[in-house]
Amino acid sequence: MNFDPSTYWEALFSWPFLRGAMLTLGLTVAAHLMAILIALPLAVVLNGPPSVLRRLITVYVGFFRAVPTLLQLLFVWNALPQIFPVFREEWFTPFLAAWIALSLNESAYQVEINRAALSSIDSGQMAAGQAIGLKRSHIYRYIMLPQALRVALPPTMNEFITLLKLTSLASIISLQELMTVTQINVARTFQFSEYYAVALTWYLVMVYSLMGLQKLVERRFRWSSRTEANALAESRRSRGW
Amino acid sequence: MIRLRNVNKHFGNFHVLQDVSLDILQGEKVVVCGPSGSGKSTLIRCINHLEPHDSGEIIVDGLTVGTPRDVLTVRRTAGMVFQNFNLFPHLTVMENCILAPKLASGVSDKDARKMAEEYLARVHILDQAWKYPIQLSGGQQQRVAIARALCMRPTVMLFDEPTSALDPEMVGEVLDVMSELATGGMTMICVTHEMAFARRIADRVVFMDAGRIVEVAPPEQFFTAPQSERARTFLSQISH
Repeated sequence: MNFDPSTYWEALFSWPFLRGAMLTLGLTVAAHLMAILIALPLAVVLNGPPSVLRRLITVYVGFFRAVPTLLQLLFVWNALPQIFPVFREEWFTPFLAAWIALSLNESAYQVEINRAALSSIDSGQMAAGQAIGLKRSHIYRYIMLPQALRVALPPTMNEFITLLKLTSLASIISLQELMTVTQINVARTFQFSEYYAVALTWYLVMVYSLMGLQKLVERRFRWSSRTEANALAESRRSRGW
Repeated sequence: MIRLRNVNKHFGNFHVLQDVSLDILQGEKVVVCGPSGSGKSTLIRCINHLEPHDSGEIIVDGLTVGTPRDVLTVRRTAGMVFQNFNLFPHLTVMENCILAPKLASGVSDKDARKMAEEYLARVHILDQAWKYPIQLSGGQQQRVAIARALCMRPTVMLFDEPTSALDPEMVGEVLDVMSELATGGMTMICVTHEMAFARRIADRVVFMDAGRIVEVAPPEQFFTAPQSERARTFLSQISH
């Protein structure tokens, strides 16, 4: 066996790999947050009555789902500056380009998740909200979204994990994320297994931490289960709700 | 109090309400009955504008239903109780009751809770206030739904088959609460098939068929000597 543990340990906590892992996580969080921000109002419109806007959104969703993510990345990084001179300036970094491309790409998938989650809520909830005289925005904020979140969380987490790994595509536009750093070190030393193991470790740490976070958030949805609602109610009661 | 004049409503090609006119006085209790598909539920859903009517006039407490700026006021004036309770499952009983007063009427958290306690006590369920809806029986959930509606201090209550989704042994507790409400002087419009209840509390019975009001009569007269052939058939079918 030819695995040098000291190379592994040294690289694992070295600045380039730490920075790469942080860039990967940072880009994923930033892109997914933006995607959710774009997707929420679009999903609300899709959940409403037919309109011209609804058709436009359907076209938008189809477009970003059809075009390969790699092509979207390359387009934003290479073609956009060709078309609009503003993007030729210093501020347009690989991180920014990747953020724009991945946000738009991810928003198309997130729209579908949010729409499905909203339409899974019983129509009586909307009617009950209206009947007690709540504004539409309040009905969404306090009644529809909290319930839709429960349905949307697992597929959203799936998307987040997919996106986390998709950020490695940004190595092609020279973003120094985790996989780029790994490739550079491998090319320099030919110590494949050590540096691949470092990348693997960081991806595992990130994904398992997220899964733990998901479990914590899901505890707040125990109201939906006949057997667990009691525990949630009791714990809130003991804290003086 | 409530006035309907030549109200029409279509679902696509289906003419659900045909020239419906009805006046309801302050404090009056009106029971609406009729075969399924006759437009009973649509009628009361038009009164608080959950369903927009196509033509005609509906006036609730001086407000014209359908005027965009009055929609929310009309709904706060008319409380509604649904067949399937429609409690908010992610909120406790107490939170269900204080949501609208806090958001829509700007009542403080403290005052909203005090008012909710008062109404939850009135529907005999205050001891369950900290629970989630899923922990309650159907009858308990429907009583919470009534309390939730009352927390907006409505001047009229609309009931859309409030006991149809309940197990038989839970119908009584909900009807008792409704009777207490009626005794307290609340204006009530109630779509129901509970004929004994109708006989006991209603001032008038409205019988609908195929989108029209066929007969309006005091309960004694309606149940013992219905005027229309259609009402006679209906009553014989439900009293087997």
